[in-house]
Amino acid sequence: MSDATLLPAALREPALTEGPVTLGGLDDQVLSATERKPPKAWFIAIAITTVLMLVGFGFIGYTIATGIGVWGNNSPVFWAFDIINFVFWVGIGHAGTLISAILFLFRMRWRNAIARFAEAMTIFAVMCAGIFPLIHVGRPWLAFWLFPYPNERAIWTNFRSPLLWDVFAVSTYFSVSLMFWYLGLVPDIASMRDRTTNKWKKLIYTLLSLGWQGSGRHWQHYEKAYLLLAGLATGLVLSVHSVVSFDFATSVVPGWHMTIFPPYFVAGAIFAGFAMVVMVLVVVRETMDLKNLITMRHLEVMNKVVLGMSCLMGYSYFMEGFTAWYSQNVYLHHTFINIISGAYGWAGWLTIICNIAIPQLLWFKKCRTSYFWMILVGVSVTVGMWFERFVIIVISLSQDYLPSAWRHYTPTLVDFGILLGSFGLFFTLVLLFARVLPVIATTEVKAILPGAQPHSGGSHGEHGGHHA
Amino acid sequence: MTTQAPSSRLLLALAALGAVGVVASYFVTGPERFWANWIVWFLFLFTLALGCLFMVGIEHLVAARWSVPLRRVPERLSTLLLPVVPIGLIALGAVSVLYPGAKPEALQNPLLAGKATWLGLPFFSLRTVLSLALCLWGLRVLVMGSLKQDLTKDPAYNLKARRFAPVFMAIFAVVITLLAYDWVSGLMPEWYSDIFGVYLFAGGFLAALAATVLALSHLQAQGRLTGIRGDHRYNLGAFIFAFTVFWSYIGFAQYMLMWYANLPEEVLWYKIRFEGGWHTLTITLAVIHFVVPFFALVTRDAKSNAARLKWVALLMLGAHYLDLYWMIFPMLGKGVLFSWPEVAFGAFFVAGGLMWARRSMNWGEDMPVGDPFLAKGLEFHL
Repeated sequence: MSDATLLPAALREPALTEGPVTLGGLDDQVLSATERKPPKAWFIAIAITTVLMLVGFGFIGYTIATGIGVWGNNSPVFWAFDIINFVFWVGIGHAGTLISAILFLFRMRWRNAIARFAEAMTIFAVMCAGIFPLIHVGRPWLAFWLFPYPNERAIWTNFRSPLLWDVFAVSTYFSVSLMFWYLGLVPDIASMRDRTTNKWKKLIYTLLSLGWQGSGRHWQHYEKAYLLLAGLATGLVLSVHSVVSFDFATSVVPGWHMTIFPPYFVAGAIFAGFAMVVMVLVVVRETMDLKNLITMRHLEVMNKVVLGMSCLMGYSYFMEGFTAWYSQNVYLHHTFINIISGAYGWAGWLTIICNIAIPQLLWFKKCRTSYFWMILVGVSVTVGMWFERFVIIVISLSQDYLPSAWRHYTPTLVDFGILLGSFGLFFTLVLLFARVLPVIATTEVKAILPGAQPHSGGSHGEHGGHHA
Repeated sequence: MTTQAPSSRLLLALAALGAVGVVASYFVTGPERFWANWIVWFLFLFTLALGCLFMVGIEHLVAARWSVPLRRVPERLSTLLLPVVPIGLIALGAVSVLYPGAKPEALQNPLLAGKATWLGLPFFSLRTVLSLALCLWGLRVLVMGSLKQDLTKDPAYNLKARRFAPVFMAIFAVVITLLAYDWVSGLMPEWYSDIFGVYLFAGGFLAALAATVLALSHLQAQGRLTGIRGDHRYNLGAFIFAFTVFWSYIGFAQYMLMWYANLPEEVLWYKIRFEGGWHTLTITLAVIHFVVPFFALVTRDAKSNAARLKWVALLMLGAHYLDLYWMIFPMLGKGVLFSWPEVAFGAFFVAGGLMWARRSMNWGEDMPVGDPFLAKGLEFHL
């Protein structure tokens, strides 16, 4: 530390917060957002997203009332927007778990300021994802048949089906993420309880904060639980999207059956999720006056993760293409050629350009620290990752082994409506969250303030960050 | 030092005895088995040394600080890449003996004819030579630069290493993938699995971590590297734990997907390994490469327990050997072969490798004293 000033500028580490941040000031800054009346822009934004959401719900209602024939799905493209959107949204959720669990285990202290928001996005994304398999079963009121239980039909679920594994993987993921998020919220809700003067709010916060008093014993239990949940969630980051990839990879459809699918899906999910978190945090930071807590350094580091993941995606795409050739398998070969030159060749190229080419801009520090470029990359990755799933699902299904069964797929208005609706739902929940609960985990940020480290000789070290 | 001298002689004797056995095995048990052993050890040393270089590279890439005080250990071990070069060049002699794609009959096989140029000896050799050259470049920039920094104390090295780290990651990805495709799955060129490079990476990196732990405990037993405490060891233990899980994840994903799809060109790889004595070995591999280290390191205290880490590390090196043996030897089609030639190869390469590693432990200071982040790494706390 002592010779840090002698270092070249590029090697110096900027602080995790900007400007003077005090413990009390931090509470005021973060928690007061839930006490103020939201600005006009917020009302406009939520009005738009709510309308989108309701449009989506309308189309979902129409689908359920009429049947999934209103979608563009055909034979052999039995899976299309529904599963694309499912995989897309589950993927978006991964950034949150990675940030809150894996980066926690890696003791990346910069994660503390953004973990809360990213985790919230995980939960909302998984909620969006859950809709799609549910409506795709056609009769969602019978969806409980997916659970194995002794029943009068004397039929068990097929335990060898990856679709059933998905039911377990995604529901476990959702429950653990929710618990993890809620656990982290408890101390902050207690702070809000102590601050509020409103009787009703006080009652709600009192119930939600589970009697938190901030005693040494409470903290001890809290930190143990946090660490355990982080350990559990770490496994889930890998398992959930691996299981999702099994939906494809276990089958013998050319273009689906690839052994690289599990880690490649996980990398893609983290990639898409981080891009989304970067975009949302830019807005949060600007509109909620949190520039000193969510600093440009946070955004830059996240952009580096996006870049790293883009390179891993590039490796995976390359390996898929290479294996298509190396296998000398005509079906695999045909599918790969279809991705880059068939009827949907544009989608293949769009995927490659959006996911591999454009994110390379992030090699430049200027792009990593400029709103314009990072949002450009974020949008590009979001589009690219949606189309990646389109490429995997639609291109592979539309032309497989039997040329007489080949068929083109065209989505319908209902498909687009439900997709838009899912974005509406996601952003409505994000906007509500931003106003109802503290968007930054104040206790975790307090742990990384100067002087809070247990070994730094500071005086605020009693709960100096869970091994931060 | 006094305790070291006799064991050095012992190593030399072991290596010499091994060398005799190695040469004898070529004539007694035939070239195929000789080359299979040679490739196992070539890959063992290559993946281990490259894994060490990867440890160094990743530290610079993510600007890790905790590992700065112990970085010299993987740096020194990564110099094993130097003896790997001649070992690799000699290994090219195996190509026309063991690799079906490089034999003239390959042109008759419709599955191989299309990629005959790729599998043929000239291009195969070119890729190997290029891979070795790229690794030496990485070694030069990352390790030689670091050794020089001991004297110059110039932070410019950190900047250079940080800029070079992403380049090295690309090199690493290419080299480890080629290694997996050419040297391992090339033994059954009809077979393909696009995760295979990652599988080899997981095993190699694990071996590198294990070697680092062992070298560290060896140095600490001599009273060196005393600044490295349980907190640092914990991280190494956590990495070993994490990568046993990662290796199993990749291995299981590959196995499960192939088992599920049951395609003839894919399952053959596993079918061979589930027959006869190989079946026992396959299960043993899963047990010692995953089950044992998982439970040995799952608790928090175990990860910083020096004695526990040491035997797990030793086990992991054994597991890496078994993994490579399990990948290469079934291709000979002769059942489980393990007798004096394998022991002789083991003696030769283990003793030789240890001699090199032991000597390398005197190159440069024990810690990168010129690194401006050393102090920060030393004060690392969990």
